[in-house]
Amino acid sequence: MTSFFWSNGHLGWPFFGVLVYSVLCLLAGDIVWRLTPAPFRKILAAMAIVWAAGVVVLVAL
Amino acid sequence: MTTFLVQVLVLVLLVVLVGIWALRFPYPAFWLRPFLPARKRWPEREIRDWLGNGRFHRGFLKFFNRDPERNPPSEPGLLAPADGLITSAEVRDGIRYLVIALSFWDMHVQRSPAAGKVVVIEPSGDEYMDGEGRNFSFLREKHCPVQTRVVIDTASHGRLAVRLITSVAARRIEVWPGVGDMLARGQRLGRILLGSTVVLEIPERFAICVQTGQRVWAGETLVTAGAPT
Repeated sequence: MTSFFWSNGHLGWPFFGVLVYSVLCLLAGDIVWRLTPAPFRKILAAMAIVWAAGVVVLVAL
Repeated sequence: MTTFLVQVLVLVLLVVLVGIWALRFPYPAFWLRPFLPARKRWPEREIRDWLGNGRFHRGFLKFFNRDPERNPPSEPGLLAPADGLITSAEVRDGIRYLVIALSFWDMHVQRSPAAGKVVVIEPSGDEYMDGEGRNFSFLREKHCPVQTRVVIDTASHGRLAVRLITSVAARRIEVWPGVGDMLARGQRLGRILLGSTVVLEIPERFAICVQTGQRVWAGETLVTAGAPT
């Protein structure tokens, strides 16, 4: 049985990918926040867009 | 099954990473520190916390205690005795007091501004003020001089003094040469352990070539140039 969450005895790859990608986005966002003088809200908005785009790609794969 | 176990392992690893990150927040997690500049690697608030509990980050202490080689310029003139930011250059009674404020991230070894002979080392002053106008006279009761003034007799600039002043956080000043020792230009003079201010006292007739707000480096930045005016 194959689905988004579960596939042949393991987590579905898109689901697994979204989890890993989300954590990496969070940590990358932290680095960007520390290294750039941009306002927090701008960074948050940019990271949200990047995260959403990545999730769309992962789900579409 | 193997795939599932690998996935779980990866997710557990990521959860641990996020957990450490969250526990450390807003300070950077250990894996992030190497990629950050010093001021971001050890934020001021975190350093002040360490001052309170005495548990300093080992990496910060190593960074703080660094003592790099310096190359004095060949041009004549007095050298800055410390790394830091010039905050004042007031003249009083014919003496210019060039105040250099050191931050937590500055190198804390002081250097001689000119070649000369150490004639006086005064381990304390009448006033116990730091560069920010705070009075630390209460520290007089402790075995910790909060101010040391090193007077140097130089052939080029007459009698100068370098005053090492600590802040509330600091307790120790080290002055390495003794009275009567000869100093080379840019030679290591001492160290303030977690101190904050170094004052160079120069006769007024020497024009300075630095200004308030300028960054200077011990043993490398010229603070005076040319002949006395």
